[in-house]
Amino acid sequence: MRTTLRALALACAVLVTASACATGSFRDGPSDTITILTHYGSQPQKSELKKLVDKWNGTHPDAQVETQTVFYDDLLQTITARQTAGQGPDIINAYSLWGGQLAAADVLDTPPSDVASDIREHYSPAAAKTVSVGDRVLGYPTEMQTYALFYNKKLLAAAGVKHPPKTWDELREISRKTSTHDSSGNLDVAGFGLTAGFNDTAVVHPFASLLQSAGGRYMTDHGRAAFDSEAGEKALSLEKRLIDDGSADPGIDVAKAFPSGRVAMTINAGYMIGSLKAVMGKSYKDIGVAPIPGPRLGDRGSVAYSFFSGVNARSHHKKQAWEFLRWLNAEPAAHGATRMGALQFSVGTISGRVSDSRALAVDDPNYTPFVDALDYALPEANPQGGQQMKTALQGSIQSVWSGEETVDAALSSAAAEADATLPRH
Amino acid sequence: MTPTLTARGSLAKARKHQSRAAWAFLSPSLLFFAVFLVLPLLFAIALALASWGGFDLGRIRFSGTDNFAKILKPTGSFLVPILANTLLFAFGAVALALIASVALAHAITRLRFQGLWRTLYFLPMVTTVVAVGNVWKYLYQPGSGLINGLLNAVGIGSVKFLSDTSTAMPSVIVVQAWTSVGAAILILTAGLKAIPEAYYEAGALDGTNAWTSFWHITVPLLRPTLLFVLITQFIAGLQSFALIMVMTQGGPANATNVAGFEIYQQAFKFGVWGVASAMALVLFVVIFVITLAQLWIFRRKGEETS
Repeated sequence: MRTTLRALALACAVLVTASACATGSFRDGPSDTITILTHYGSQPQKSELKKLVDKWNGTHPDAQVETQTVFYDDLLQTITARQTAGQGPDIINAYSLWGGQLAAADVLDTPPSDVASDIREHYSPAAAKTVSVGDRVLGYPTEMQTYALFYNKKLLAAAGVKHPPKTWDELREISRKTSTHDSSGNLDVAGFGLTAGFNDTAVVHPFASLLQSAGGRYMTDHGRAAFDSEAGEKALSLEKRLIDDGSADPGIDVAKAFPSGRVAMTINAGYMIGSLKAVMGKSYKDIGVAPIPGPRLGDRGSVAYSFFSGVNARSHHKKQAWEFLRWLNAEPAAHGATRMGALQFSVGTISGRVSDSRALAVDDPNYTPFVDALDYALPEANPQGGQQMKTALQGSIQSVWSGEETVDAALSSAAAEADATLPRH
Repeated sequence: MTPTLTARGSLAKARKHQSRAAWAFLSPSLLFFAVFLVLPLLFAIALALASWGGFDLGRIRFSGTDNFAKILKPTGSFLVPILANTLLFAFGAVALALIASVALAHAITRLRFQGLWRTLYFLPMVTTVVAVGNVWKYLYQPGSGLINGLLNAVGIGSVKFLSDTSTAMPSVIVVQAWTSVGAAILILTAGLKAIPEAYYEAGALDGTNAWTSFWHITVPLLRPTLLFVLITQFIAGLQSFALIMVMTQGGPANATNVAGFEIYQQAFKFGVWGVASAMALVLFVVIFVITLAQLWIFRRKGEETS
């Protein structure tokens, strides 16, 4: 018995020592390199960021920066795991919706006052709001996403349509006209693409844009659900009608079908310009972008979200990290735009810094509706639990699409589930 | 000191020596299990009784059984549809896979080139779940998918396999069963080969036909193998995560959301680690109870299970 107890004590001691060794090896002391973790795991973002970092490293031998990249789907997990293990990067690039979660856990350093002022004064109100929790700014907005209506000029012209829709009635009408079916009744060309990919952003943001165009809101400033409203019912009913009309099919993979000319119109964020250019080549000239219409002429709506760069509160190089971020996001470079602004436009998306977007959007008229939307788009609120609210709404929207729930019931249950998440935090 | 006492002393010394050697040899594997199994398990139990948003271990706050109360609330979504989906997914996939694998394994033992057939059926097992899930997604596509193409060719309209709440779950069950048939066939063919031919010869003398010899000789003697396949596949089905992640991400409208995927969402997407850990413990209990029930049922039928 005594031998067994001794053996157990020995095993525990070994275990504790091993665990301590493992934890201790995470950080032997402050490293001289500033690390930046981003979701730019694929090209061209990865190489474009690397070019800028190499440029900085060439002129700042005492503050070398190292890029660390993952894919978007792995970003939050990577931040969580590394931060918990004491191996967090010095600079964190994060989705604005996670702001509340990161702020609640004090993951991010409070920016110097000049950085916070720069963000409040020189970025669009929507951009500044997406990177703030309450009055506290978390970091520089990097890529900015607003929503607009993509349309295929060729398909619209073939259906005898000269202009993109300016009202919901026109949207339904043009969707019907441009839809074609094969002999088995399958949609050959969908007049309208409801992005059925199971990603919550792809489902929720187009709905939220239509909701705003009908005068509604997605969330209140305090993160309570606001979509269970008359405007919400109208917006979701419109999506359901498009399906019932035979103009939309949530089973179609719009990300693939739109560039191949099998979807006439769809609502998506500005980043789609970059992917369409890469996939469509010369055929990209057939693509047009217009503001998202509302129920009446002149109504419009859009949602804004961003990614932002903030400095880790546990970083040993806060000063140098903020210096690097100023150089990247605030210092004017070619064409009077910041380096980050130029990077964003080079990969086909816009910047939240108004001067960057005005200076760089001139090359492609398709950017204009996205840049214009910076003025009126509703910033996606980022309370703690915001992600859970969004996922709940995604499920409800899909249940209406598939006919499982009525619009009223779906919005009501999503709002109840969303609001119930708040006390948990 | 008498010779007897001396002998006893040296025996005890030798035993002590052996015991030390045993612990020394066992310590690497014990350490491995302690670090990768015991510690995470204890941490999960602690987290299930706490509130934690991730990022900083110093912010873990004890919350008693609040997390369990939240997830086991009848109005919540964990019991229905998530846990119900998990059971349906596991039962459905195991039932399909077991029926198919018994039939195929029985047929393979009567064919030439048995190794080739076993290899062919085992191929899905060595293919990554991501590839399998994506290929099946293409097969299920409305309009352009192969399955709908075949249905259209015989005059049947397209089925929205993955985008309709009523067809999404059966569709992913079929894929899960398809991926697990190979392993089951491999084990069952080994079990079938272990049945002595003498039983079949004796049966033939008693006038059995193919069906009666299968039902009265093969199935009873295959029961230990069936039990193993049933338990391992059921556990795999209840823990399923990757296939759901690749094919549907729990959608549409939670129709294919299973416990494994929801635990991942709660922890890594929503940052509600206490709730995620409580869900993991509930899933552990469900798997444990079902496994015990399976063992009990087989034991009642006289099967050796230990």
